[in-house]
Amino acid sequence: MSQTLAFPYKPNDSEAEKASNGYLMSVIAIMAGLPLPIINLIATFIFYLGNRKGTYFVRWHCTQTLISQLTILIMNSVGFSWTMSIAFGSRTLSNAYIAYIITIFLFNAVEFIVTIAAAIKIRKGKHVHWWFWGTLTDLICKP
Amino acid sequence: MKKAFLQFLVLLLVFFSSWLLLSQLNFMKYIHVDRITKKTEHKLGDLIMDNIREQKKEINNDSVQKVLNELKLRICSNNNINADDIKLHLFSSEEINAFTLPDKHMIIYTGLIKYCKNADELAGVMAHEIGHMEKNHVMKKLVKETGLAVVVSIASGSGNPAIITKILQLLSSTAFDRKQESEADAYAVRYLKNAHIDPAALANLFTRLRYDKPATSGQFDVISTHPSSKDRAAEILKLRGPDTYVTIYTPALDTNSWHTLKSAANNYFSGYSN
Repeated sequence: MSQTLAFPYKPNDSEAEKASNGYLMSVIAIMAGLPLPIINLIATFIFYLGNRKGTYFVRWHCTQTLISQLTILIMNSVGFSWTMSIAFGSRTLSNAYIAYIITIFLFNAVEFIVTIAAAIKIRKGKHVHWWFWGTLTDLICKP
Repeated sequence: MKKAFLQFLVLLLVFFSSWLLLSQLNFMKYIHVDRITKKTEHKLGDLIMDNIREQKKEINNDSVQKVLNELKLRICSNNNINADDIKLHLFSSEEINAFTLPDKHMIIYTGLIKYCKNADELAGVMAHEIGHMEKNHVMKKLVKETGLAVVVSIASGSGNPAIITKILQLLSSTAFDRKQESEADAYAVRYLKNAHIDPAALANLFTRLRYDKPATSGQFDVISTHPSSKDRAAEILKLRGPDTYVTIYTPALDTNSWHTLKSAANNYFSGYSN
């Protein structure tokens, strides 16, 4: 899921702090965003906008967080709209719905733990590369 | 790019297989959804019954109840349906109507009994309503029209009387959707055939109601819907099939019992004449 790789250069302390804050921002937003999944993305996107002209290390990690949040948003939005359609619409409670909610809960929990772990490592100047999101970030974010 | 795409596919696979595997577990059973639903239905049924009793007079005549129960038993016992679960209520009203409430309360208005030409027609309507009960159409309709949140809030005691009145109007005057009505009709035909009551009577009732529609429009849930009563009468006759040497239909009630019912209904109101 996540691995520590070598980065083209050694980031300084200020860069490590900024990059790490991007991950913490998404974690804090998860707490506020649980009922409304869009909040996570907005918070991470604002942080990304603020740092998009930053150094390569900061940009790279802001992009990785943003993309991961986008994936979580899609997953959680489906769960959110499904819940709303049960509470206020014509859908009924089913095994498939409960299974979906448990699945997204598990994915969110894993993402939460991995994000905190990444924030700690990145604060120390290490380059944490996530499965899929890291690969995608490599394609989007160039030095 | 290829690597990212492959990793994305693996991620999707992990997500969907987790979902699929978890879906195999019967959560509905573990969290006692059925029991909770039954409790909610029971509470809702009681609340709506209280509301209807405030508006209309319930007829608690033993001889009338006995005849209605006889009809109910004949349909239920021939179709493996627990008759005790179905609570029959006769209300004094000129409206030609019968409908189902949550928790298997079946409401019949005296106007309907007066309008029916024979006990077979009344049995047809009752079989149709039992069809709605067996397919749980009432709760599905309530949740669809008002939302689960409203239904649960009413059942938990936070619903106000105005909402309950609205729900009563919804259940008594508007129809189920096309699919549900057709389904209840098909069930009615099956129940009637198993009970050796001629389903053609229900088709006849629909046909008559069609011509009397200006007077009955919007009152009778059985007809105030699509497909049209003409199509439904035709469908019922099609499902009934032709008479064969094994087809033995007998009147739903004997003449005396039917007259008991008719005269009791006539005593409460005079409106439609047969």
